[in-house]
Amino acid sequence: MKHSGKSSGNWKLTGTHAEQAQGLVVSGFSDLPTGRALFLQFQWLDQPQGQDVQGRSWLDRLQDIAPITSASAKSNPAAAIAFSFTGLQKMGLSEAALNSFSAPFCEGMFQEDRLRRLGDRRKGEWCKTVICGGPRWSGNTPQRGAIGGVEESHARPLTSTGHIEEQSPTPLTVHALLLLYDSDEAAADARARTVTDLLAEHSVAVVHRLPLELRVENGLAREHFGFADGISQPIPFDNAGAVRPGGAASPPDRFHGVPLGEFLFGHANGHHEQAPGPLLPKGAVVGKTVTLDPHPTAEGMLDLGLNGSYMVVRELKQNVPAFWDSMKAGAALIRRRDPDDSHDVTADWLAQRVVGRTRDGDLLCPAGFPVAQERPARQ
Amino acid sequence: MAQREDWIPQNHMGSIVLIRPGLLRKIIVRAGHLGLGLFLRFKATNGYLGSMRTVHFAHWAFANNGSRLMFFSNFDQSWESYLDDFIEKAHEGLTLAWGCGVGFPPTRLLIQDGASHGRKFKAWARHSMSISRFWYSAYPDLTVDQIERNNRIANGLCRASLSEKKAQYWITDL
Repeated sequence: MKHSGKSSGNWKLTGTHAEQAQGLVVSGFSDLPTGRALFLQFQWLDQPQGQDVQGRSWLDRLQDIAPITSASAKSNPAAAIAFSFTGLQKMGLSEAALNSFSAPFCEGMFQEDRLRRLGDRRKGEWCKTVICGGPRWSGNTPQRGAIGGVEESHARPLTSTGHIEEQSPTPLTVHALLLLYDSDEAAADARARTVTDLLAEHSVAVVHRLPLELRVENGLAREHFGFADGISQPIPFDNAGAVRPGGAASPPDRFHGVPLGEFLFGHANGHHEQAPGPLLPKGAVVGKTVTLDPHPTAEGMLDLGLNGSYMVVRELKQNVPAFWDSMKAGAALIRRRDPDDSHDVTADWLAQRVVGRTRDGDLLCPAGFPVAQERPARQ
Repeated sequence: MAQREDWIPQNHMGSIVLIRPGLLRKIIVRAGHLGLGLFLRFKATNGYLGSMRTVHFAHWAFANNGSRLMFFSNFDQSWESYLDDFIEKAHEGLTLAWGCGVGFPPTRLLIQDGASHGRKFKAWARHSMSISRFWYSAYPDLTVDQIERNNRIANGLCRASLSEKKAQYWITDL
């Protein structure tokens, strides 16, 4: 299977949907191969939240120097933003609105059952897949039955069994993530510096940062072990017309077609319902300019989530030398055991079989026979 | 319920629901379960439940003089992904089996809609669950795929001889 290294589908959001959704939803910004991820912490003590002497909020100021890219048009440079539960809480979103987000968002990545399900922490101990000393940053979302001692902590009701959930606080609390995409390193550095200085004036600190790199080589983006990445991209479709495919209207792509509601709130999802997003009670926004639409089904609520989405951020580490050392050792073992038939067994050969693809992303046939061919009849 | 799950690769679901009253409903649910049982006995003979490769065991039973429907199942991985599998791959069978339950999402022609209302069905199924104080798993550390593979290897070893082609496939399991 050959591929171009880019998304095989050309699709766009239509009208207001494109203006409301962030550009990150429709594009990986492949023409902006570098950037910076800034992890923000709101350090203001009380309301008004991060306003300067003119009364302008940090978000207004940010829009001047790093406007958040919408899905309606290309932009160079580009930016995207996301907030954690504790970030929205600190920004003053009402308890009722916060509780309308989905359970994983409200519980956080460090909810004890989720930690166990993901293989991160069991019986009060971090698993060996987690870096020494445990993760360094998180939203530090308060757990149920929280007993204090953690920044942001406030009592949430106990579980129905009266269980007090374990708190696994990280040294850094992240309230928002700002992703800045640029065409070269110098521009990325300069913009990250400007943004950091501006945010500092509003008591918004950059507590952690990561470089964003696409590593494009001959039109192929590669992950750290050196294998082609981003091969299969979904192509959303929407029967209500929120998606315009490239060219004329076409049926959903057989392999890559996914309902739009799997990505954006307020659209039909794979379960044939409108993807449920967060709501805002009408009374909660007295005295402020409201541009939100009323929710189509929840009476008395504004549709806070329309064309928004959830984003999961996990910082992972790939041990590249250990991977290739292990492949070299494995290949040497095979050659030693079977010296006659294993001349082509190299570390690269073995790594391609471990990943299931060649380095350029071509599919290997599993078990040595074509994918479409059935296994032989059972004995 | 989540506190009791995801300790080993397998999980257990025990659920008990009230059956909606009425003679017609009773006939339909009995016939539906009988038909489904016979059909699966004929169809699901390769160790897997259709295209679902994560179900170790599933059992429906009528309890309390036929007024409640009990369901027990052991499956691989998380409860959410198990229910997603059901909703996407087997929602018709599920609607037929559970459509008689009080509070089940609205169904059409016995097998349509119902469980395909993913979120409503999940919420209903979660609330129908009750704690199983004890459940048995013969191979608590293995998934269905691993058990099937081990079974194929053992069967191959038990045979006196294998054709070259069959031996080639057998060796891919090792």
